[in-house]
Amino acid sequence: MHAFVAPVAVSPLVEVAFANGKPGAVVFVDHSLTPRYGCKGKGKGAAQWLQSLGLPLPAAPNRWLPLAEEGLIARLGMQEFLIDGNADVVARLQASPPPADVAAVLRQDAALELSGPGLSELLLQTCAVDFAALDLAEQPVVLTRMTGVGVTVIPGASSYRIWCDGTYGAALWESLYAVAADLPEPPAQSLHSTDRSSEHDA
Amino acid sequence: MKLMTCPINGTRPIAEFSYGGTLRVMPDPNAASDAEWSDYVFNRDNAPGIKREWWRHIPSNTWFIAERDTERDVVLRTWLHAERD
Repeated sequence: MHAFVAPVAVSPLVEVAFANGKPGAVVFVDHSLTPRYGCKGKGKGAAQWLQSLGLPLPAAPNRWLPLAEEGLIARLGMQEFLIDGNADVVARLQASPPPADVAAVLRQDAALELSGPGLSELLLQTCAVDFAALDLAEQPVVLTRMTGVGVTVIPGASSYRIWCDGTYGAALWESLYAVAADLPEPPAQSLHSTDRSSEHDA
Repeated sequence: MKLMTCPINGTRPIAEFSYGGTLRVMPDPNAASDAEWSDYVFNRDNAPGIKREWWRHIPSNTWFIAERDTERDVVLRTWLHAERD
C-alpha cells in the first residue's frame, strides 16, 4: 500500500459531528472514514489504468457511475478520478502500483451526506449552483464552492453526497449546520420531483 | 453577479475563479537575446483592450484561457489551452 494514500484514522468531522445535534430540517451524516482512492494522470493513462483493473469509467468529466457491488467512481476532470465506498476496489487499487504517467491523489476528505426536507433550501442559501436544474439521469458531479469551501457534490433524489478538503470539513459542517438549524421543517418532498400535478390542481 | 464560463464546469460566479496572468509565449531561453529575455521577464502590456489570460476554476483546479476585453471588463470566450487558439 502507498503510505500517503492511507485513509484517515479519525474523521476530520469528529468534533463537530459529536458537538452538534441533528437539525430537524436537514440530516447530516459523516462518511469521512469510507474507503476512498483518487488518481490523476497525463494523457489517457489514468483512464486506461482503471479500465485495465476492471472499473467502469464515466464517459465525460463531471459524471459518476456506480461500482459493481457498492460505491461509486466519479470523473472529476479530464483525467482525475475518485473511487469511494468500495473497500475491495480501494484495496485493489492501493495494492496495484500505478503506471509512470498516473499519480495517486491524497483523498483524506471530509465526506458528508445531507438529506431531509430542508435540503433544497439549504443548498439555495449556501451554493450558487441550481441543483434542481440538473438532470439526475446524467449522473452529474458538481465541483463548486459551498459557503466558500471548494466541494465535490453528487446530487441524488433524496440525499446529496459532499466531499471537501478535510481541513475545511469542520468549518463547512458548522456553516451548513448553522443555516440548517434556522430552517423550518417543510413537508417532505423529493428535491427533483417531476410530479407537479398538485400545482395544477390548486 | 459577475459570471465566467469554465470549459469543463460551465458558468459559475467569478468568485469560483482566480486570475493566472496574461497568456504569453516564452522565447527560447537558449536563443533569445538578453533584451528579449528581460522584456519577457519584466515587462507587461497594461494597455486596456482585448487580452488572452490564464484563469483557473478553483474547486476543480481547471486551468483555461479566457479572451477578455479589459477596457469593458467583458469575457468574450473561454477555452482549454489544448483545444484551439
